[in-house]
Amino acid sequence: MMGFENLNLRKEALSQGASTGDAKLAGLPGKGTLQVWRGQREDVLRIVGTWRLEDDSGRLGKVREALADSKAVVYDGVLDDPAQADKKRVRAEVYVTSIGSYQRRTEDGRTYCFVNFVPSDPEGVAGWRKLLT
Amino acid sequence: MTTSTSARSEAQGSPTWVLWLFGIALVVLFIWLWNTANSAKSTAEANAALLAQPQVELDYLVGGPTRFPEEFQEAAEDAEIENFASEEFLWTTALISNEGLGEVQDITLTVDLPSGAEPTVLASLPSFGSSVDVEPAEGGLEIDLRDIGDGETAMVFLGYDRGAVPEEVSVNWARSYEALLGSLTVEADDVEETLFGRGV
Repeated sequence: MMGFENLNLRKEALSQGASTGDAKLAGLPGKGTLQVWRGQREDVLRIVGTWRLEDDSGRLGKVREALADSKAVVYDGVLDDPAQADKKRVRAEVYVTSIGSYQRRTEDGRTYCFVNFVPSDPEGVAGWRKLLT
Repeated sequence: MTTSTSARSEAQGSPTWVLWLFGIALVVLFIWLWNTANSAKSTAEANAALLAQPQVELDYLVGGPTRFPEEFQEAAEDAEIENFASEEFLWTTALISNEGLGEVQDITLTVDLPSGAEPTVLASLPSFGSSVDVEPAEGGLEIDLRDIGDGETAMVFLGYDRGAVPEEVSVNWARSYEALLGSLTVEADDVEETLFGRGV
């Protein structure tokens, strides 16, 4: 598991132009991406993932509980790998590195929840062919 | 005779041509106004959404007094500690930044330490002259960070006594500093951020 240094994955993933798609984390539906960052020689630099809860109404507590109790969970969703022309889907075990949530300061007070994660076996994801679904 | 007919038809055709032009100009003006109003509305909505979104960033870094000397010195002074032997500790720093567009109030930092470690806590808070309140909590510590204004950062230094840290962790602190930490959670009224360590 990688260290925390500069690990604002959501921001980094978005700055890298990550696009999200339908994805499940620990069986919960949402939007997410598992992004492979490659170097000039197409070597894998990092693999990072970000996911957000699709329908946040009243389920934030459940999400926090599900993800905090068991840090190794299954991500089932988009794999964004620049080495591939098209986005593929992947099913991989991941470690949750952070969970963030906030409530908008508006009358509806809607809550948003974001989760960052890294693959528990980066080698397995780097060898993505084995994992594609 | 021919000349006078042509002149009459010009006199009759000219208003129609002008009316068409005027009509087209009106339509163009309407479309432009509609687009401008829509764009202003979208911008206002986006700005309102940004204003309404509290955003707290939480980071956990290796190091403390050497990495952030000014803030560490300030924290030691706030804690009224003189000649603090910081080298006797292995340090980490929690950075709590308010990256939203409004103040975040009543912030609490909970440090979950399943390893049973009892770090020394020093803090550099944005609020003037604030000493930090640290309370023991179940399996860790609870630290009152008060309020953090937009664009401001609070730093909490956690110093682990070298003698109490397992050798396999202390020998390569820069790579294994997460091993003593279960999680860090920043909590305020409308925002919560949790960062997981590797401590179990």
